[in-house]
Amino acid sequence: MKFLVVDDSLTMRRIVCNALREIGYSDYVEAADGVQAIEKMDADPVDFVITDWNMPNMNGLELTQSIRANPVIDQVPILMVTTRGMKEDVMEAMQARVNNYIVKPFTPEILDDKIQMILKTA
Amino acid sequence: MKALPINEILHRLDELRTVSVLGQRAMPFFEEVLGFLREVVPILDEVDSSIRVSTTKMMPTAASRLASVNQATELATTEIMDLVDETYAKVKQTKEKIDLSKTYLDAMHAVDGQLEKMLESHLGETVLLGDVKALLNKQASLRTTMSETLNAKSLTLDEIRNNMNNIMISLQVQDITSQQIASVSHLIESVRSRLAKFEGQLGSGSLENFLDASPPTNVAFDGHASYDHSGTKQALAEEVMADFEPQVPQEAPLPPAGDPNISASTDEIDTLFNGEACPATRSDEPASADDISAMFGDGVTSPLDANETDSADNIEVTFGGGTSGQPAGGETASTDDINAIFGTCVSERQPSPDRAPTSGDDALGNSASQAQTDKLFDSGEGKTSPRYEADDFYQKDL
Repeated sequence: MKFLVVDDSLTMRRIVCNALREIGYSDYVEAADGVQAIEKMDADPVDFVITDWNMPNMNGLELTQSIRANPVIDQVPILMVTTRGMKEDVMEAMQARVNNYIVKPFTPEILDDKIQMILKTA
Repeated sequence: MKALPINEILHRLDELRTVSVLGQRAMPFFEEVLGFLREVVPILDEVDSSIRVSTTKMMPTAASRLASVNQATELATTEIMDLVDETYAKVKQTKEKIDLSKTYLDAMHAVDGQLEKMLESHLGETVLLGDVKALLNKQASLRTTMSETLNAKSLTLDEIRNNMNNIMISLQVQDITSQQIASVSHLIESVRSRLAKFEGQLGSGSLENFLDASPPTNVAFDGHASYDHSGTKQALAEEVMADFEPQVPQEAPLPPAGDPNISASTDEIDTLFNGEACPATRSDEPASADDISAMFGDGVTSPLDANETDSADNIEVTFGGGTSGQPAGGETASTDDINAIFGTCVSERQPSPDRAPTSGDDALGNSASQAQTDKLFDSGEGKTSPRYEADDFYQKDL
């Protein structure tokens, strides 16, 4: 399974990728914002997107909307990993049709749980 | 030269007299304004220079320092992560070697068992066999001790690995704090750009030539980000997700079947924008002048008729406020009328007790005193003048 990790913070990308390795997934690509993510997805399809919300150029919510609006990739599971933990934020993300939501800081165990949960229902 | 009727000449002379009276009455007011401006200008100059220093030096420095803090923490975090990754790799390598050693020990145990069986079959029950078995048992005991040591080491390595994971998790603090710092930096930038605009209006406006007065709009941070390990936010997110029911976007109702060329009525447009039809007008009635006045002003009908051109009289009526007691159209304003306009600020004035009249004062000695100027800026008693407050502020900042 190939993951796309989208975050403008290099630190966070490394942390997410390390966590993915920790839970047994070693195939991943990285992108620094939504625009890069779309480019990467166009160039090489991915099976799962893990994205931050607050990013320059195209944020995670816009990325989600863009993916969901594209019939070629609209079924790709999306997991939002963000600092935004307000009720309205979660609702907005769910309305944009993310599959699940993690509030930072997170542990590899939570990440694993969420991935398994999404893959079961996908 | 065309001869003018005497009445016309008298009328014009009356107008001239009125203008003269207006000038006499208005002059003290303008002098007072000038006096006030003379007091205010130095204060504004100081405010201007204070804002200039803040916007050109202090605020950009603060913002760039915050940016460098973010860069430094990101760099340090990357270095820590490199070390964590390196340690992680070494732990993994050591653990693999321990597992291999345990496999060797198991293999040695199997070899010893085979050796014991061979000796039993060749030597039978002899003293030598007993000695060999004792040695083999001792060797087995040593292997067990070694295996237990390796297991303990393996557990220690697991703990180290767990700690490494926790360090990695804790390093998420860098991302969270960087968002908090970015939020503060954005706030400073916003204040700076507004001050720059203000300074541009207040002073020379030169700041606008080299400062981007518009605050950055491409913001990529969460101002409410917090480093919270308690899991409260995640629990809330879970709760929201569990209760979430996607809202199906409601499609706009289709227009009733009929002529497709019929355009939307005003009521429909009002309903679209306001949620209800405007009660003041009906779509089939043209808007009256009163409606338009009510829309743009305070509902008072303009004294001007839409079909009339603006005569001097109309202008007088308009500037007279359209209130009762003002001269009717066609009459020139009398001295009393002018007094009525300026009256409250001219006729009721008393001589200032603060100082003797000077050349810039009117007959009653009226001009803005320092106390009056101060009062304008500072209504509290016993406070220092704004000039000193500005100095204090500047000193504190420096």
